[in-house]
Order: sequence, then structure tokens, then C-alpha cells
Amino acid sequence: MTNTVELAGVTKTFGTKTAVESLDLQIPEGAIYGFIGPNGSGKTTTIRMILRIFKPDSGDVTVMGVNHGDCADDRIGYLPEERGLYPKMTVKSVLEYYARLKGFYDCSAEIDMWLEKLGGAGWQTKKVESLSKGMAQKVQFISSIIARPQLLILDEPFSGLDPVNLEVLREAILELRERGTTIIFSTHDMDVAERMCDTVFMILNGRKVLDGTVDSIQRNYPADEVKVRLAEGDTVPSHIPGVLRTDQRGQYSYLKLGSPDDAGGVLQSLVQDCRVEHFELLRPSLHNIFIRMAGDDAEGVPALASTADE
Amino acid sequence: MKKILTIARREYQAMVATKAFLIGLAMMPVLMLGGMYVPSLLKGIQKSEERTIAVIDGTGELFAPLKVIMDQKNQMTEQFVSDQEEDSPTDSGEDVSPEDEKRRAKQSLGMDDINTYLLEEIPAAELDDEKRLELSERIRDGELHGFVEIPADILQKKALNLENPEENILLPEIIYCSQDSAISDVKSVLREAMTQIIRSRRLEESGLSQMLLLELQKSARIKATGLYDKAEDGSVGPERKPDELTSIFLPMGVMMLMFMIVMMSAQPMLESVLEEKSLRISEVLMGSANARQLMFGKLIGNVCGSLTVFALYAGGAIIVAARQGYLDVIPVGVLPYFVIFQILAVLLFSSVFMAIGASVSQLREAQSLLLPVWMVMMLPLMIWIMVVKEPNGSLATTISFFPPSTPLMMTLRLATGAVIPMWQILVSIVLLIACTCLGVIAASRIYRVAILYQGKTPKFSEMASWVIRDPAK
Repeated sequence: MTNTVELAGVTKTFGTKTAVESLDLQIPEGAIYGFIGPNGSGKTTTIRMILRIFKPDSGDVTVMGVNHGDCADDRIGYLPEERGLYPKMTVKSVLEYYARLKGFYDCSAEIDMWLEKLGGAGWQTKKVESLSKGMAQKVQFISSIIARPQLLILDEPFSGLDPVNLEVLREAILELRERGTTIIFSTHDMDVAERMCDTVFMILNGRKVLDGTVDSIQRNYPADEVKVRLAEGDTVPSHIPGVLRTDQRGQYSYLKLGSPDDAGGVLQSLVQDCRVEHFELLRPSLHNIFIRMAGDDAEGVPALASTADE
Repeated sequence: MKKILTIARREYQAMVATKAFLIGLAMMPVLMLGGMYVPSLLKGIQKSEERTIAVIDGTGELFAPLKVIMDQKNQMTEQFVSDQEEDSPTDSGEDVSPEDEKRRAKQSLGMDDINTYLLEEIPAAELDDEKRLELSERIRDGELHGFVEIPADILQKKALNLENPEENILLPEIIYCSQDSAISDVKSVLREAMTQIIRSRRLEESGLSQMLLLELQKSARIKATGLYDKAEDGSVGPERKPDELTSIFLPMGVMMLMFMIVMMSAQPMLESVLEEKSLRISEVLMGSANARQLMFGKLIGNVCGSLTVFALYAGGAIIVAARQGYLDVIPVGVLPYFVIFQILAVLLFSSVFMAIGASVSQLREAQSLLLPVWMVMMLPLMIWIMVVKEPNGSLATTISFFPPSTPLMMTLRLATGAVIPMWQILVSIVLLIACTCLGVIAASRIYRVAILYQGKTPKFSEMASWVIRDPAK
């Protein structure tokens, strides 16, 4: 499989601040590749280097076989985190403008098709300023895909969407992937990343801390938590050997283990003292893995944690 | 290139196909003409009022003739005001209308105000500070408008003062006291009336006839003509009759047109870039075109928009001039230079405004950065009258070679009809082209960095460092 994007030893600094340091990355063709990291971690700089808005200080950025020039590649579609549409233009004219900027002139039918597909039939003559946030989000999404990109970069595409519209957009993204579009999916939301992405790349303070499929990452981080439900009236004993911490959430208790090997001993202890209805060894979530990776990084963790909690 | 043209097309549409543009197009001349005519219009709607003036005549002889003159003036004013209310203003032609006669008569008396005056005589014997205080109180109460003290010695002849000759032509001072005495029109009304009375009296005493005096006082007159030229039929004569319109207002109008066009082009550029930055549209655009393409596309669209404005104004001016019979007044020879200077000026100022727009996050933050640019732009507007009087003077020539002022200065000089040496025109254009190129390059470097820069407004030094070295590269 060929790589759509390849970064080799890429470093980018702004003044004294190193935004990205010695970054290596390969994004295979047709993949949905998650970019995860807290604010200021270097995600946007990496995306801007892929878009050729920034040039790296050192290293090589190759996008679809091209590693030079400062002109934007028309084969790349980009949905930035902050939405940008001209408020006074109509939906159709703004989409036509973005399509033409990508060299796609005969775009009228494509615009109508995507508006229809995303529930925006009849919006063509509406002014952008009259759209609701969700509607504008969809129009912005269409603007990034209207020129049929081979590489699509989506920065927080689901922020501000209600569950129904989120599902509509999710299906559209998956459909694009089926057509062979490579998708870079930048998000703070680890659950979304876990559900959407084949491969995940985590960046912290400009350095890559994780890169691989969600499965392989989770395999590297063995289960260290059990989810338990006891019969009514029973409570988890306060001192079970091997349990570091117990959290009660609803009818389930979450027991943090010192080591995955302690799981058997914990089950035995529980069965001796209580009536156990449910016992599940949990795989670590991306969120937890990131927290673990970030360690004591005071800058990164709270930002990520707070976003994940929202 | 296709991207640049796509951006230029959108920019042109965004500039021209808006209500704001059409309103601005219509409002600019209205505001300009309004500035010229509003004061006289306001004067026209001002109501006449009756003012009571107390007169303390120290001579005991001048109150009666003063009253006669003021009554005459009142009569004339009442007639003038009632005529004004009945008739609409007529076009001023060569024929002298009765209204003009009256106006001239009024002006000859120095009484170009529309108020009427009642005079109240106060015996001079009663005059002391207590009386002055009492009169002042009456003025404060609104009973009186003012009071006048005519000195007792105003009719006395004095020996010639050789040490201070200026005093020989001035009479002793008349005191006028009112709340607005410093700026009051009444002073000039009184001055003219009193001069007339005393002059007539002196004339009578000297035995000279009024006719002889007029004969002695005749002034020299000068008639201005244009340069002589040979017409198609071989006859030789002056080009055209110079008047205020062609000598002063036409050059000023041409310069103001240039100023308006530059303003109507540069300001929207700042707002457009600011909008794209604040709404994060620039982030999307940068994914499709680089900063250079964006900037040049915008500038091309902007120049096309400015040419549209020029075409509309120039076309409108030609149509109006043709209908009014002033077509020969339009300086057709200036138009090609106007277009060249306009294109360069729009490129220069629009790129600077774009760089500033990209550097700030709110319009009010742009004000401090715009101030020096405004000052440079406004420079020719401050000295235009001196340039009109001496289009080839050293001041006009020097400022013409200062590129930011060149477009306004050169069009102003050319529109005066003076023969500007060709070398000056060419040098000013070359300097302006060089300055515009540097300005656009510097602005594009600032724009490239600033458009993605969030946070506080950068300092001038910071922006200068972006011109030298782009931190994003």
C-alpha cells in the first residue's frame, strides 16, 4: 500500500518555540488517520505543513508524491477547526467559489448532490449568515469535499453537531473513505477517534508519543481496570489486594489494578465476600492511554481531559 | 493564474455588487458638494430677527442719520426676505436680475445679513459704568441685542500723525458691546453705516462733489485670459475663459476624485481581510491558495473595482458637463495619466491596508496603524490651494516626487492645465512604480504571516521583521 502522506524527520520552530520536533509519519492511502493531542501540541502545525501553508525547518513532507513548492495542492480538501464562510454570500456561491479555487469549475451538480445528501436541499439561495450553526457546519464540510479531494483533512468535524447531524456527517466521511479518499481526522474526542479511525497518531509538545492502529495501541497497554456489578445490598470491600482505587459510577464499580495479573486474585476476593453479577476486564481507552502517556505533563493533560469530559 | 483570477472575480463582485458600494458611490459626491453648499443653504433657511440696539451718541448729531441708514437697510432686508420666500432661486446668467441688484446694494453697505435693527437712543449724559451695567443686564435679559457708544470726538479733525501714519486713516473707536461682540455681524453693519455717515459729512464740509470723489476713487481692474492658441479656422484667440470653476474647483475636483477612488478601494480591502481573518475564512483559503495568490487576486479585483468607480464618475461627469455646456472644461488629456496614477495608488494603498487588516483582529485596533498612512494620504489635501496657485512651484514639484503623494499631487497639477514638464511626469511615475512594487512585496510578506497570526496587535517593529524574514518559512 502506498502512503498518501509521509513526514520524515520534520522539525518546525517559531522563534524559540519548537512546534514539531523530528516527526516521522506515514499515512497510508485510503486510511482514516486520527490526529490526537491537546491544544498547542503541534497538530495544527503538522496539518499546515501537509497543506504547505508552512515549510518545515528541516525534514521532508511528501504529500501524494510531491515534496516541494508552496502552492496549495488542489487534491487536498481541508476543514479547519474554526469554520470560515463568507456570511454575505449564498450557500451555492460560496461553495462554487471554494470549488473553483481548487480548480473544479463544473461543480453545480456536485453541490446540489451533496446538499441533498446532507439534508440541505433548497439551501442554495440562502445566505450563509442565515444558517444555523449545524447547517453552516454541513456547508463547511461540503466546501472541503466539493472538489473531490484525494486527501481530506478534517479538524474537529463534529464539534457543535447534534447526534442526528453527527451521524449524517459520519456516514458521509465513511462513504468518502470507501471511495478511496485518505482522511486525516484531527480531534480532541478520544471516543470519536476510537470509533472513526483505523490508525491513530498522538502528538504531545511537538513529539509523537503514539502511532498505530487502535487495536495495536490498546494491546500494548494491557488491561488494568475491572468493571464490577454486585448484587443489591453488597458493596465492594475497601481493601482488596491488588486494587489501587475504586470508583463508583451508577451501578458499576471500576477497580483500578496495580497490575493486570492481579485480576484473578481480585475476582477471587470479590466472590468470597460478595455476590458478583458482572465482572469485566476493561481494555484501556485511548483517553486513558493518552493520560498515561502524557504522565505528569501539566500543560497537556488538563486540556485533553477537560475536552474529553465535555 | 486561474486561482488569482478566481479570487479577483470574487473580490470584484464583493466590492461592486453590494448596496454599500452603490450607496457609497452616490453619497461621496453628495457629501463633497454638501460640504461646499451646506453653509450657504443653512444661511438661506436662517430666519430674520429684529434686534434692538441701544445707541449712546457722544456727538449728539449722529443718531438721526444712523437711524435713517438702518431704516433703509431694514426696508431692503424685509423686501429681500419676502422675495426669497416667494421666488425660487434662479440660474445665475449674464443678465443682472433685480435680486442681484438688491444683493449688490446690500453688499455695498456691508449689510449681507438678514436681520432688522431697531435703534434706541440713550442720552450721552447718562453714560457711566452704572448705565453700562444696566444695559448689559438688559442684554442678558434678552431685551436688547447690544449697545453702541459713539465717542464725542469722532467728528473732530486731528492733526496728521507722521510717526504713526496708519492712525491718520482711522477714526476714533466706536464701542460695541453684546454677548457675541467678538464674532457679531452687527459690528460690520455699524462700521459701514458710520463710515458712510462720517464720510458724507466730511465730503459736505470739504465742498467736494460726490461724483468727483467717485472719480478719484476709481480702482484699476484686471481681466484674466487663457493662453492664446490657433483654432482650426486659423483664428488666434485665448483657449477659453478662465474662471473659478476651471482654475480652482476643477483641479480640486479631479484630485478629490482620485482620493475618493483610493479610499473606496483601500478601505474595503482592510475590511475584507479583517473579515476573512476574524471569521477564520483565511484558514480555509490558505488550504486552497497561497498568500501571494490571495493577495494578488484581491488586488486585481480591487483595481478593477476602482476602475469601475472611475468609469462611472468620469462618465457621469462627462454627461453632466455635456448637458450643461461645459464639455470643453473636462481635461481629457489628464484622463490617461489619471488612470495610470489611480491603478498605482490603489495597488499601493490597498496592499498597505490589507497588511494592516491582516495584522489586527478588530477594526478599532487598525486605527493606530492607519494613522500614519492617513497622514501621508492627506498631505496633498492640506496644500492643494498652494499647488493650484503655483502648479510648477517648488513645493508642488517636490511633493510630486514623494511617491505616496504622487497620485494626488500629479493629477492636481495636471488638472490645473499648467504645462508640467514631461520628465517630471515620467520620473514621478517611475518612482511611484518602484514604491508600489516595494509596498506590495512588503505588504504581501506581512499579510502572509499576519493572516494566520492570532493574539495581540503586532508592533511596527514586529511587522518590519516579518518583511525581512518570514517566520513561517
